[in-house]
Amino acid sequence: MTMRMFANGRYAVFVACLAAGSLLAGCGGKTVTTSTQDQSLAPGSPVAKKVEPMEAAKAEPAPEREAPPKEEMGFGKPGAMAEARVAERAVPSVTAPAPASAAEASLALAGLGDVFFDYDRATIRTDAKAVLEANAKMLKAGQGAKLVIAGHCDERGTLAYNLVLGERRAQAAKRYLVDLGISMAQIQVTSYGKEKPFCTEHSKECWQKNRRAHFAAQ
Amino acid sequence: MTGFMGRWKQGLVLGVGLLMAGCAANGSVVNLDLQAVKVEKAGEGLSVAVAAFEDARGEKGRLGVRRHLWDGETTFNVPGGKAGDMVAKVAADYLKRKGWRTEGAPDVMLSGKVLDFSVNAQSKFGSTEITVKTKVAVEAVNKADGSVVRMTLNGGGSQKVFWFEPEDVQELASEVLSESFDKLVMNTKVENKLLRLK
Repeated sequence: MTMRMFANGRYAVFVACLAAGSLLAGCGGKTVTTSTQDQSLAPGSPVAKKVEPMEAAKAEPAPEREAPPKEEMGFGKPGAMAEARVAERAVPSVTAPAPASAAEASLALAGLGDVFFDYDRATIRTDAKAVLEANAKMLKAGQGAKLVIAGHCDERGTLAYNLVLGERRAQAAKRYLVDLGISMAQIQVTSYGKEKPFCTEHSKECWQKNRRAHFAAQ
Repeated sequence: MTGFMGRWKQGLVLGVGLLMAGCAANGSVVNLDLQAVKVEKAGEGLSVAVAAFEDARGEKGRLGVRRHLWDGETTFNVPGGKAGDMVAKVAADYLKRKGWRTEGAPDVMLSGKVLDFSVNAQSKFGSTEITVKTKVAVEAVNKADGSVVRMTLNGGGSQKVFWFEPEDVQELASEVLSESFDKLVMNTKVENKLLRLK
């Protein structure tokens, strides 16, 4: 009996110690620490200047400008003309009859040219003004045809930064068209940032092709 | 005496059971579905769109492992295997619960780069120690003026548990990420729909 009590006592102590030890060892508090570093605020690139249509013919210095991608103007749009030939483009007359259907309206917008931007800028360049004026004439001929202006960027920079920059490019193109007399209600803007590049090579030429505002029928 | 031996056997079984608690599910993968936790709403925030976060870690295939008491390991990962997407999801979840709007036209575009995100656990006799480490570089671009707020968020957490459950890891990792994003909110302020550093 004494042996059994001793055995029971030792057993109980053993189990109690094992359980207590395990619990004490395994129940350490949770610690969570956080900190920040490298905080910075970078000012944005200059907001696209609102350019009056009257200024379109004036020469505008563009110190950081890269050469427009002449060989790829209208990239992905076989019907589009090269930027250098925009001035010669035969645009539909303002008095042309209105398209009979939405499909015809879309067709009328198929020839809208893209406009290109300098690196990290959303300013309408001189070469882009001619394209936008031609686009405005086509839109007026389209009798209220609706379009979407999509802003695109090259692959440099973060996704978020380029989404914002793409939107600013699209907005700059929209503002210019509105100044030329196009109704704001006709135009929607969107941004694809660097997500839908027209050219996928990693070169300056390719990056210039991707820094654009692209016009498409809604 | 027979009873004494029988109880010793019971004790032995109990002890082995405690030890075996650190050995279950050897070789398996535990997917951690993380979410924002312990978030206190703080009024109306900005409208934000959270873009996918880039996973810039050296080892992208997993978050880490749990090393079992005797041998073997369990792998920790996130559903879908994309840690960047998971961190972005927690960020969006956190900001939404904090009072920021995630619908409509955004005032701020948030993106980031996951520089470090490791989750590990080491089982020992009677306990398992879980450790979580994060380092996320975030970038918030103000849509109105194009200005950019950048910040690197460091997070770390550890916890010892007696009986290991995958939920412990999930909870700790969620907490570390949530507190990291809390630092982002605490160190910034809103001025005329623009995010600025305090």
